[in-house]
Amino acid sequence: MHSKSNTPTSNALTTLLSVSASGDVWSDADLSALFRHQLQAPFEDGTHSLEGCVTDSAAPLFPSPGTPGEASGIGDCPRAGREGVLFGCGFLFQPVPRRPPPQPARGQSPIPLASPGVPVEGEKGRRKRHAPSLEHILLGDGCNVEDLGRVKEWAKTARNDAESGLPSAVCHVLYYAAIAAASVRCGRRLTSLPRADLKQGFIWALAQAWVPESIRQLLAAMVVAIDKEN
Amino acid sequence: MDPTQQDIAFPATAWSLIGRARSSTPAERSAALQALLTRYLPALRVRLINESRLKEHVAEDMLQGFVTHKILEQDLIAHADQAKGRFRTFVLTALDRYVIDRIRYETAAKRSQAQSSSDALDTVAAIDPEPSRAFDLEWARQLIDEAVGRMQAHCEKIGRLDLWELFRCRVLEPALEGATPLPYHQLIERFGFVSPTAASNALVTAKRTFERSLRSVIAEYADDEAEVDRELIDLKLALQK
Repeated sequence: MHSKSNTPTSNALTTLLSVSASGDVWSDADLSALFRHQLQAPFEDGTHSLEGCVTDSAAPLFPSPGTPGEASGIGDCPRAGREGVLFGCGFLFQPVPRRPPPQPARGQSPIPLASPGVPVEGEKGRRKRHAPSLEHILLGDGCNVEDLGRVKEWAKTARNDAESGLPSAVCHVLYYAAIAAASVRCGRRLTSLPRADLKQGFIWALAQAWVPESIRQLLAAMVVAIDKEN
Repeated sequence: MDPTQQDIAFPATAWSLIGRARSSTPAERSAALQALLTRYLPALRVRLINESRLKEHVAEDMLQGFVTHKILEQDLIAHADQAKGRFRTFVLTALDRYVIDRIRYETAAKRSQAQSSSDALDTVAAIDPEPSRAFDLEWARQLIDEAVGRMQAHCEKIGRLDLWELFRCRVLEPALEGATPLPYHQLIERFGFVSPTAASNALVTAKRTFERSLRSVIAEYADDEAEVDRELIDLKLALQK
């Protein structure tokens, strides 16, 4: 057996006595690889609508702190605040494995491929979407606030769910990246968090050594935007 | 269902070895005691050689006598009252008492060796009755060893050797041998994880399986979950001294 052939030190034994399912064991290099892997994973949405979570484009980028009816926790959703439901704007999607594209039957015309994130008509009129990757949603061409809202909500849910398995730091960065992308690229706000809290979150995310440069630029642009508003 | 999330619950210990040691069936009692003491004999040996300063062959003789006479014949563990203290301390106290009694007996029987026996008696009587760090270290080694073996066997039994391998290359070998944990990018190649969630879930499951295995080993000499928690904290503190 393992330890029989060795003489483990007290530190090694303490480490093993302390093994806990909830403890993170990923190094910065692992988190970097894990984050890149996550960016490439496609999303598939569920049945819930995001309408209540997307704010009016005419609204100011950041609300004043203490706006009535708006909560102040991570990833606040206006509708959730109004309805008193924790995840009132929660979504039933998860990162899913890449699947090979469906093969058309002989003699049938192939299903037209859609750009990631663009809805297409599926069989029997059901609306189906080709799941875009997180990277596409956050950094790709175009601007899809709805998808960014989904990413934000998913990151929040995964971060709060001890069973999600995803390191909380990764969820945090994705959460802030979604907010930053909506603001910087679409001019829309996805959160009611006070400016100071948001800035603190972006600065924390920027301090994570494993965050890739593309996301880092997005977060940095957001910090600049917040500073300009002040 | 995601294979990483399938039920791989570690089998709960139906009843502890202590419970079996208190059982009224002699065969059951004997088997339970044998299993417990065999597992922790190395720790008891450390006590006799390092702290009681007995020569190796004398220590082995004492241990053998302790198991066969004091424990098996007199049902010492069957009378162990968990409420009065930790099992480790209880066994240690019983061993020290046995050694003192035995030396006294031999002193009386062999007058010519009185002086050397008396010295040994003084040494044993003077040692701290609490488990030493060396004793706790050896105890923890046996504990971990058993937990690791049990986890591997369990993973084999349920056809989830991937969990065992994952635990081995991410947690066990880095802890025991100072090996670099298998990097994430190699992990997903080797185990075919399609997403970070799948990889993270598998690792969480592997760690949870080990945690349960470890607790199941302690539960064999602890009365309840709270006692298992206390023993874990106690051992960690002892190793950090």
